[in-house]
Amino acid sequence: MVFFSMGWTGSTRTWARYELISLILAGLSTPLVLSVHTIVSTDFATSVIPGWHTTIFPPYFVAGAIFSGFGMVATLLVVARKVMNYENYITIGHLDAMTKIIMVTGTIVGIAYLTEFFIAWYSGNIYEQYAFTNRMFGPYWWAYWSMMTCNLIAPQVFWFRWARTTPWFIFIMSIVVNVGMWFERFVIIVTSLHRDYLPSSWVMYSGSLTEIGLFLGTFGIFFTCFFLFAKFLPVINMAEVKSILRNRE
Amino acid sequence: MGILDKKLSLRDRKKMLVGVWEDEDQLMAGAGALAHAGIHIHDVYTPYPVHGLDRIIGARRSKLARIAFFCAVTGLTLMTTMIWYMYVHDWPMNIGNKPVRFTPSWAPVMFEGTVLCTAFGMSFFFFWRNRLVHGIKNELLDIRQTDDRMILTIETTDGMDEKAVLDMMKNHGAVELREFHNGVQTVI
Repeated sequence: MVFFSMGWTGSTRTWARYELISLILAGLSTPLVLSVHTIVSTDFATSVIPGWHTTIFPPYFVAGAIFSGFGMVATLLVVARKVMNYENYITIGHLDAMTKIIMVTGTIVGIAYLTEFFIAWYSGNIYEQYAFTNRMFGPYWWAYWSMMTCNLIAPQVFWFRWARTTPWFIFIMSIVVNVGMWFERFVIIVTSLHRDYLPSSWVMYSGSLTEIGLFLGTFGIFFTCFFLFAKFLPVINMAEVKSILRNRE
Repeated sequence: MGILDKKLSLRDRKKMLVGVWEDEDQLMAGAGALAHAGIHIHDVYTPYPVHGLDRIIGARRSKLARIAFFCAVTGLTLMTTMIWYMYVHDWPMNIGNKPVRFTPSWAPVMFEGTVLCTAFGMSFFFFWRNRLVHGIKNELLDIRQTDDRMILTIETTDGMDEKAVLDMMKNHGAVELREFHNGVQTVI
């Protein structure tokens, strides 16, 4: 504990600096998220590959990151609050708010899918048009329709209050969101690369054991770190909880 | 370490009057009354931030924002210099005939460098200014000051009516009153 407390005394001046640094870091982090995902998306968008070379990518990826992030947090949070008896701290109201954001960002991502498709048709670019025809009806049609179902259609259930306030249902839906975003990344990368401009270069892709192993390994490292954190460190900031409690006689 | 805040360290204090509160509203009222009476409050230790208390005790505005700004300018300058050196001076490359000079394409790197230097600089300054280091022993007057009690400390001066100060604290809801003298606390 001495290692982690670092000499903390709760001095007023320390708290004032703590709140100021939190505010400034929050103000920096928000444009950071926007810029990072915009740049990552332009790694694709600035190429010439049909299906990648489109200006919708920056807002599409930013919304997708928030969508995927909230889905992942919901997956962990629903279980953690139950297992650790934190239902009074991470309330149904919090889950309600998160599902609303999931629905909004999922709808934005869905609109981006439709925009891509519309622009591909409207542009008259035969390569772009084929890229989308191939995505919908080609050998990876199952991935595309899984993506559309999980990301655009499924989150619409959160229009219903029951869906937003039922933890076990939120957990299932959050897994659906995670799966949908995995398929989105699969569709973007695989369907555009396996058939681009030159038909003699067209190939089929399937994951090797090494790739599958790496993927499972990422689950392993993440959950190892998460479980270690949840077991040994405070999951909820006590000071923030205390500051909203009122002392009563 | 802690050169700037040395005068706030408890180790160097000869005698202090200590009040323990349970309620933040009563603490705020008590601190306000003491400050209004001209009593200099050394510090208040709370388990969570109590808004407005820093103003009442006369704490100076933090320089953290200024440090953040200077770190941001440093990061921006560093990254701009880095890109200029790599892309204009050292090894300019013809990429689609795009100009080898300052363009908006430099903006992401400059922005990220700004954020990086600001975050690191602010964090290091925060730890240094608050004397927070791994392994350092906390200077706690009461083990509960990071739990559910609020501790207000007043350093005594010559001519101070200590009884009046203690009575003022008690009248504003202090649940315990103590004297801190040469490292030893006595409950009054």
